[in-house]
Amino acid sequence: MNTTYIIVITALLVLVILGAILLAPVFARRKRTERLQDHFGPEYDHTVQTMGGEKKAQTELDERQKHVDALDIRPLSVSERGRYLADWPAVQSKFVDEPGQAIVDADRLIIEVMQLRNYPVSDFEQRAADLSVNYPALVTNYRAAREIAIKNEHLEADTEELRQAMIYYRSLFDELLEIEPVVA
Amino acid sequence: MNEHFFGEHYTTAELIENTTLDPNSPVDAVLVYETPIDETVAAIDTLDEPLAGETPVVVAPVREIPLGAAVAGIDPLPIYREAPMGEKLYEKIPLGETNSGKSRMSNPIPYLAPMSETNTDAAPAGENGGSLAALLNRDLSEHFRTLWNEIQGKFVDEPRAAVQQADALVSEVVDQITQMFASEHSALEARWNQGKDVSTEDLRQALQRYRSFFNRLVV
Repeated sequence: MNTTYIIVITALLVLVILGAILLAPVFARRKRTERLQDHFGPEYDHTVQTMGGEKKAQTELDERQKHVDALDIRPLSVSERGRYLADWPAVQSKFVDEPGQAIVDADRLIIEVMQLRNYPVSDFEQRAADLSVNYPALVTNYRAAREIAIKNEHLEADTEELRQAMIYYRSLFDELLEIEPVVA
Repeated sequence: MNEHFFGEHYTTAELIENTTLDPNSPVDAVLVYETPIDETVAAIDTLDEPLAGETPVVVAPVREIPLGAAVAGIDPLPIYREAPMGEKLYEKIPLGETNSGKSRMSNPIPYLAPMSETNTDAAPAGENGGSLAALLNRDLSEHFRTLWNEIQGKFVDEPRAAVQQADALVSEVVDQITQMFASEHSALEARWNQGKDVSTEDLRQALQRYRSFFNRLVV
């Protein structure tokens, strides 16, 4: 009776352990998915769509993360931050007279700040990809603004669209500046 | 242009009106400007009439100014000389008798007309100790410009609110300008309209201040 009991218990334990070992990758994959979804939010779905598959997308997002981790991203210095804090209202004010040019300027300001913070300045997709790691919620705005900016280049964007683009740009710009300088 | 300015204020109608209002001090009365528009307009028709005898003011045509120097193609306006302040002689131009003269003269009147109503509560110029050249103009301008910049900056976020606020701001500026002109005008007057014992130097400075005032009215 006693021996039988022990054997049954042992067998159950072995089964549980085996099951755990077999199921671990499944859980891990699910956890990875959850982690990436949590972190990237809408950008996750966007990547799945553009990459044409969840697996590819996850690889892409992981690579982005590694890429950005390898960058020596730094905060702006206090003076840099002050300068850009002052630059933005000027651009925003310019909107009233030259909406299209204000959009161009806003985009340029963002690139400048990214550059200062050691983001590699390359094509838009690369910039968006890099930004998506640290500002996943805002990269959607960045893309939306980009679309309007392209329309604007063809003089096809109306004032309301341009205004929206301005707000999209600013949401990202604010975040790019907002990080408190930790080191002097 | 300065003569032009004076012509607007030293109108015959004003002299008559003020004499009527304050028969005991005819000289002071001469110097009161606040004239409702219709009175000023009425002055156009009475320019050539000599003034009532009890005032020491003598209005008589002296010479003609070639106003064309400033504004080409405009009929020259006669200059009148008056002696309201003892030994001092004032030159003045009456409102033009021609239509062109009328219309040009009437331009600044909407700003000047409400002065008498707002004299008492118009503050800033007086607060600054009567520094008329600098005046509240600068402070206020700065203030308004700050407000304007805020409004313009707000457009991207709240276009409609920005336009509404711009509308309100412009109204406020117009109010302030009206008030400012009123207070400056009375401050100007107070500096030289104190009786007969005003030195030529004071009058000269007064004229300079009037010119500065004038130049801000007529840009």
